[in-house]
Amino acid sequence: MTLRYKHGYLITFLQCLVFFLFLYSGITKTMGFGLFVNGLDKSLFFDDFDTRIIGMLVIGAEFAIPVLLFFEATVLYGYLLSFVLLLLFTAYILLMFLLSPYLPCSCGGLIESLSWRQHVFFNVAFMGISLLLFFDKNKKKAVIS
Amino acid sequence: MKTKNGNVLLLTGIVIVGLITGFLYYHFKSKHLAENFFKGGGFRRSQTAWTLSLSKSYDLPKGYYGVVAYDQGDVLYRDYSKKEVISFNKDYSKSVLPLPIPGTIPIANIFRITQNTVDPSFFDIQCSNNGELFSVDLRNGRTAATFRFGRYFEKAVRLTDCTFACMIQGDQPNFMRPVIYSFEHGKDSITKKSPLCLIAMSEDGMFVRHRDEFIYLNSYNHNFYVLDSNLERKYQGKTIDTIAIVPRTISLRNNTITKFIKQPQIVNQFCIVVGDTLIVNSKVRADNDDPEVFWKSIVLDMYDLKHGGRYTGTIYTDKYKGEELQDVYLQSGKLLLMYPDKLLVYDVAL
Repeated sequence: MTLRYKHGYLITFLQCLVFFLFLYSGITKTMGFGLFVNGLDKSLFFDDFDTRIIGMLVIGAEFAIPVLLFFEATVLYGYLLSFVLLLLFTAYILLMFLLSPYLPCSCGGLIESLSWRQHVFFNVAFMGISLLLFFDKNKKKAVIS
Repeated sequence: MKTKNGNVLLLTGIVIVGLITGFLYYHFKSKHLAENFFKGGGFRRSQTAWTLSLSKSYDLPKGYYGVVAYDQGDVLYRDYSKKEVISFNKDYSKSVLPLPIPGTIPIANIFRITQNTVDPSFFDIQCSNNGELFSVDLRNGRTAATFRFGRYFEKAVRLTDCTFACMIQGDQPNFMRPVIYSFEHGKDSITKKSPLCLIAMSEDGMFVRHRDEFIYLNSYNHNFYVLDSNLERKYQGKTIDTIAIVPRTISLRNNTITKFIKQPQIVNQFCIVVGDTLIVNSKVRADNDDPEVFWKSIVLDMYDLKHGGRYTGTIYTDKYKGEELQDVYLQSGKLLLMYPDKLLVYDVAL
């Protein structure tokens, strides 16, 4: 018996959370693309990189998650991409924390108002959710097959 | 079977994240980005083939001045404490030209006076806090046109007889954004907005025109942005000094006052565009600059705008009595350096 069958509503709720998180984040970054790229420009880690391309890749990945979560056949990949992206963001934040002399933020929208410590907790929480959903879905697929 | 596939995918994802993180770490460490951020330096200058020879010098009473124009041998400059422009004529005679603007406008609100690039017989007086720009004929003392922006604007660059590129407040308070402002048929409107948003104060800088493009050069770090005629970002350049700092500000009294937490170091003080060359007055010492010579010199770094803002060399000239520069102006092969009590005119030769 998987988590989905035991706590169907909880799973749907968590799935919606991930879906809307990335949809919201993608929209706010697209609406303020200039601002988002400016934020990336200020990061020492992207010195010498074309930050517009990095910005487009991040937005593309963020929009891909709600799309993947929308179709039953690709939900597993959606959870995986969500986890990987959040892991990447968290690794970047930790690198910034440890190495950068200052901390610019370009997350956009309400998420931008979080402190860097809150950012880490926020990301870890959503990483946990994504991983939980991923394992649940993966297990369910294994049971069906 | 599926569980196994899923685990492989998960592991692959984690490995990719590890690789990207490792690459970012290596990039950061190998380029000594943090060290460079703190110290400046970490770069070297080379001299250009450009030479300067002093052609004229004018004595001024000690004050705060800015160059307005170099007009057929006449030097026009402004005294920031008076509502007037002073002209040093070719024959060394001096004329005082009062600013024909309403008396209600305080001197502090007159941010810039520039020569009209469309009709050089006129001058543009930018009263940013009043949201007004006066196009005036200084020699006849009359106002030809008044452009009402109806908001705070700064660094206006004239494009045609009724359009300007300038910086206005962005969609969020505390952000400035380049726009094109049109006053066609007596109606003011913003016709183009740049996606570039700059943090007010922290990313303060200079906004200049280069042919059909625009350049925004940061004062407190090494970034400059080249924008096309639609104000879209063409590329981001970097001046050779390695300072990447974005100074922090603090907002007080319900965000009505913004102040720097710590007085930031000026990296690029002035800039001019001549032909395809961006000339930047830098305040950062290179590794091969002699400290004693550097602090007594005016340092003008050159960047080739035809080749993505590539550094081409530096001109050094002695500071007048070790005083700090108040303004730099270059036109028709004449370089004007303004000091608190002296105006020096140099011939520039390649």
